[in-house]
Amino acid sequence: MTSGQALLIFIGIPAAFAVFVALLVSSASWTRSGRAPASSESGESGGRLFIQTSGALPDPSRLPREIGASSTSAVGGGAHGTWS
Amino acid sequence: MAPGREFSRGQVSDLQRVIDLGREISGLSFGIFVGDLPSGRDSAVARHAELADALAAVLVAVDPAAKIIEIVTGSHAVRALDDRSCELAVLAMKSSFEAGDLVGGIRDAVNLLAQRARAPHLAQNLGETNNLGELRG
Repeated sequence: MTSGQALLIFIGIPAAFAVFVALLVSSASWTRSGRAPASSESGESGGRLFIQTSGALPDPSRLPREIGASSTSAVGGGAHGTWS
Repeated sequence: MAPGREFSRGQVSDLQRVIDLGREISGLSFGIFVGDLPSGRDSAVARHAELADALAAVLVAVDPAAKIIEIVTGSHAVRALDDRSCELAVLAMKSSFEAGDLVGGIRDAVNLLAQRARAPHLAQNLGETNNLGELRG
């Protein structure tokens, strides 16, 4: 075995492996930063969101009896508020 | 609270789970809207109309930029969930939002609304149980 081959085996391969591991570790942080800002996990985000109950129709057996009554308006009530 | 930032997947799935659980508890459909409400209540009502079963649905709408909270109940849902319960949920959200917890405030509000909507059923069942007891006695 020549000295060049020994260097390649005992230094080159471990060095290449170290670079590979470093790339794997850093790629995880690239993915995380692309997915969501760190502050959003702490509830400080305010982006647009519109979701509703999966399987939209309510279970009739769980609703009050009056719900069977007819109504012309979609809105029945609610509440309003602001915060500082 | 910085408007325009995206919600994380974990936050969206958390809120989705909360409204699905709310439906299980109360039988009502829930919707959550976070975004611009340029006309305030009217915008929230317009969003509520977009829900699949608007008559039996409850929408919790929040505009983080204008700091507006709106809860809209459908004309059927209001029979299970009165305006006082909605005002209570607004108060709960206000206190969380002032602490900077947008998702936590919405989650607590939906939980509260679902619990309050369930309460009449429990009261009704208790009443029926008492009536049965009186009949037996």
